[in-house]
Amino acid sequence: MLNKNIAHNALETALSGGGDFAELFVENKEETSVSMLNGLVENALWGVSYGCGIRIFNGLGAVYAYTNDTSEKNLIRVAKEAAAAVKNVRGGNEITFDFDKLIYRNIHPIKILPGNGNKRLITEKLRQGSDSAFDYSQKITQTSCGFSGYSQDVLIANSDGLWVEDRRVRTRVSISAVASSMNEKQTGFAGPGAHMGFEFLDTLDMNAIGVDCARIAATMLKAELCPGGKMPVIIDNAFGGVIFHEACGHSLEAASVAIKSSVFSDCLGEKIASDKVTAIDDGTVPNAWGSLNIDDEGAKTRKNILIENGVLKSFLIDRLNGLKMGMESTGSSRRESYKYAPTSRMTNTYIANGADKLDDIISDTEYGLYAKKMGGGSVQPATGEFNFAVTEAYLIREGKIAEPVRGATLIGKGSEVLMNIDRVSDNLAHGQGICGALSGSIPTNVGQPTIRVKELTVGGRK
Amino acid sequence: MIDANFKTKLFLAAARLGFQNWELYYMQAKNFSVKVLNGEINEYKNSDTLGLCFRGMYRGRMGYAFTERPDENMIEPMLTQAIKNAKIIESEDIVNLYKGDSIYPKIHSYNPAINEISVSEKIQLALDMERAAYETDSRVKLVNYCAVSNGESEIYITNSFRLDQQYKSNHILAYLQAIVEENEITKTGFKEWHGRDISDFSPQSLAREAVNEALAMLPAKSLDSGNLPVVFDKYMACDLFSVFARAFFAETAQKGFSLLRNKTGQQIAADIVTIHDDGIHPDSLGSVPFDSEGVSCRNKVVVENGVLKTLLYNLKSAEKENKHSTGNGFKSSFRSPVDTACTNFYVLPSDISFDSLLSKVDQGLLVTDLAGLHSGANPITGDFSLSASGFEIKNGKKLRPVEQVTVSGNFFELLKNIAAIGDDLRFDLPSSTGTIGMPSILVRDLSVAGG
Repeated sequence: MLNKNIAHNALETALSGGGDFAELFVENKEETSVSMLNGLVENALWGVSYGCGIRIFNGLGAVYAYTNDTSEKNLIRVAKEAAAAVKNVRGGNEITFDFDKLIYRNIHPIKILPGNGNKRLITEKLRQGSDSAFDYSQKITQTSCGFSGYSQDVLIANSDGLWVEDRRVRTRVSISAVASSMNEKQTGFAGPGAHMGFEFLDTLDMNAIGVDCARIAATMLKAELCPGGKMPVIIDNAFGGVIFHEACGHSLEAASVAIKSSVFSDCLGEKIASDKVTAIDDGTVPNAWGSLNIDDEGAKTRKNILIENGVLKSFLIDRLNGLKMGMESTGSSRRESYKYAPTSRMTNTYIANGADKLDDIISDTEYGLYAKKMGGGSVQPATGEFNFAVTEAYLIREGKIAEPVRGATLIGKGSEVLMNIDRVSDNLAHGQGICGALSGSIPTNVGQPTIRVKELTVGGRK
Repeated sequence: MIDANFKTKLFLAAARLGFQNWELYYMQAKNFSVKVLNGEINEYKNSDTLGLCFRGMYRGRMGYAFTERPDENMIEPMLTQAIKNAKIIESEDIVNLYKGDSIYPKIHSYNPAINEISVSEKIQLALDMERAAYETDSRVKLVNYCAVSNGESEIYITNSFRLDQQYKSNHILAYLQAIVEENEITKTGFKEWHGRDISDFSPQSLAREAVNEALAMLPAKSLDSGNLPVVFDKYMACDLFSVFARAFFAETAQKGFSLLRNKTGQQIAADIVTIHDDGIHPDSLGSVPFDSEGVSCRNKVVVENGVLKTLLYNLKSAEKENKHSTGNGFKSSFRSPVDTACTNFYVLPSDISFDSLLSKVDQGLLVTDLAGLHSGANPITGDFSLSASGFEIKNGKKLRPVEQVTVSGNFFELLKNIAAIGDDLRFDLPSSTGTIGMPSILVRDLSVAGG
C-alpha cells in the first residue's frame, strides 16, 4: 500500500522533533451498501475511503495527523508539521530501525469480498426479510432493510520496525419492522453481522429474522406502559450483553483507567463483581463481528479475561495508555479509520456461561422485569452511570412471564450492577453492535447468557 | 480546490458511459485540535481531507459512487459501480438534479481571522482553561477533556445543468469536562463554546462554569416520584429537540415515520410556540447559502403560534407533493445520498429571563443533564424516558441538586404543554440532522420517577 522507503522517511521525519515513537496507519477501504424501504431498493452506494494517519508519542502525550494524499511529498510535509508540535527540548532522536514484516496466520477466512457480490442477490435477500415481516401481521406498516459490507486493507508501520498488513472484511444485514396503530408505533430490529464476506448472506434465514422483528413490533404495540421503580431484572442472552458492555466494559478501557477517571482504576485484583461473574474480551473468535487478526497498532489480538469469578484480572490496554499505566498492550487498540488515533476498545466482549438454568431463574422471580431484547445505551465512565432502553420487555409475576410492557429503560451504576448479578445461566450467545467512543465507531460483539440482577432501577412511564 | 482536469475527465466519461445527467459534489476540510492534561499536550490532531461524490442518472435511476482518492484511475471503477447501483434502484420516487437558483444569499460563514490564531495561542488557551478549572475549587479532581479546536471546510457542487456553486465556512470550538469529588462522591460538569470570533471566548469563565456545574450537583439525591412541572435549560431543551426534529421533515412524514403527517394547518403545539428553520441566521454556525442539492437557503416559519405551517422539503419530497424544496436537502456527509436536514431549527425566544421562568414553578424539577437520548427516546412515537439530573425547584427557586431520576413523556404532548419559554436562545453545534437552537422551556407536567 505504501513504498517502504516512503514509510521510512515519513517516520524519520515524524521523529525529527524529538518524539519517542512514530507510527503510520494506511487504509484503503472499499464499501458497499444497499438500503430498502418497504421492499423497494431506495439507495445503493459504493465508494472508497483512503488515507494515512501519522501518530507520534511525546512522553505520555500524542500527536496525530491524517491526510488523503499519500504522496511522499505530502506525507513528509504532514510528518514535519506534526513533529513540530512535539517540541522536545532534547531535539531530534537518533532512532534507527529496519522494517521487519510481522507474519501471522489469518484466522478469519473470507470467500467473496462484499463489493464483488451480486447486487441482485442482496436485493432478493432483503426483500425476503421485508416480505416475511409484512406477512406476519397486518399491524406491520413499514419495513426498512439494509446491507452493508466492506473490505478494509490496512498497513501499520512504526519506528520499532514493525511492518504489518491486515484485511478486515465485514458484512452486515439489518431489518427493522414498524407496527402501527392509531397513535402508536413500535419497532422491532435485528442486525446480524460477521467478519465474513458476501457468503455471510448464505448463513442467514431472512424469513425467520423478518418474522422475529415483526413479532417484537406487534407485541410491543399492544403492550402497556412499563411501571417504574426498583425491581429484579432478568436480562436475556445475546444482545443483553450490552449491559456489561456499557456498564463495565467501557470502564475497563485503559483510556479512562490510565487517567483514573474510571471507577475501576485502582481495582486490579479486587472483587468488583459477584462470584457468578466471569467476563472476557476475545478478539480472536473466528469470523466474529468484533474480531480482527491484529489490532490497529499492529499487536496481535488475544483472549483477555477481564473478570474471573468476580475478581478484576485485566484492563483493555493500548500502547499509549499502557505507557501511562506501566502495563503491556492487550491487543485492544482500535480505531474507526485513519481519521482517528487508536485507543483501547472492546472486540467481542461477553459474560461467560454459568450454571443456572433460564427456567429456574424465571420461576424463582416473584415479581420483576424480563428484558428480552435490549436497545442501545450510554455510560458516563467517570461515575459508571448508565442508561439503556429495553425494546422487548415483559413483567414477571409469580415466577411466570406475564404481560409485555413498553418504554422501559434500565438505569444504574456499573459497579453496583456487577455486584448485584445473582444468577448466570448457561445459554451464552452474542449480538452485534456498533460502539461509538473516542476513536470512532467500531464493530463490537456483546454477549452473555441470561442473567438476573437482583435489584435495578427501571425507568418506566407509569 | 478540485483538479479541473479530473472533473473534465469524469464528466466526459459519464457522458460516454450513457448517463443522462450527472453531478459532482466535492468537500475539502482542514481541522485542528489540541487537548491538554495536567499542563501538558495530551492529544494533538491535524488533518487535511477531501472527498468527492459522483451521482448520475442512468436509465431514469440515480446511481452513486464516492472516493477519497481522486486520481484518474478511480474514474472508471466509480462510474461502473454507479451504473450497477442505479440498476438495482426500485423506488419510484423521482429524483432530479437541480438547475440552480438565480440568486444565492450572501452569508458570513468564514472569518479569516481564525487562521491567524497560532497553534501556540490555541495551546495556551487550552492550558489557561485547564488551570482556571483547577484554581476555581480544590474539589476539582481532574479536568478530563480540555480542548481547543478549529476547522474549515469548502463545499463545491457542479452538475451537467451547469450548476456551479461553492462556499467556505470555518469555526473555533473549546470545551472541557471537570470532575469534582467530595466525600467519595464524584460529579462531572461539561461546558462548550463555539463561534467565529475568538474575542468572545474566555477560557476562565468557561472553566468556572464547568466546575460550578459539577459542584452544584454535590451531594445530589433522588426525588420522590410524581407528575411535576419541568424546566429544561437551554442546553437540554436543545438535546431533546434534536432527537425529534426529524418529525418535521416531509420525507419522514411521507414514509410514515412522523406523527406530523397531514397535520399542516393544525394546532400541534401550545400557542406561545413559534418555530423557525432559518438557513441564514446570523448567530448560528449552521448557516449556509445553499443545501447539498444546490437549492438556496432562507428562513421558513415551521410553526406559528402553535400551528404547523410547513414541513421541511428536499427536491424529492417536494416533487411528491408538487411543492418547492425549502432548501433542506442535505447529505449527512459527502459520501451519503441526499437526505433531509434542518438548517437552524429553533423555538423563538420570549422576553422571560431564566430566573423568571423558575419563579413560575412552586414545586418542580429543573433538568440540566439528560442521558440515554439515543436509546431512551423513540423519534417516531415521540415517547421518551430519560435519565436526568438537575435541581429541585421549590417556591420559584433552585433548591437542592437531584440525580438518578427518570423524566418520561411524549414529545408531541410536550409541545402542547409548553407553559413558558425563556429569552436565552442558544444554537448548538451543527450535526448531521442540522443545527438546533433553543431557549430554556417550562413544561407544565411530566412524569418524574425517582429511586
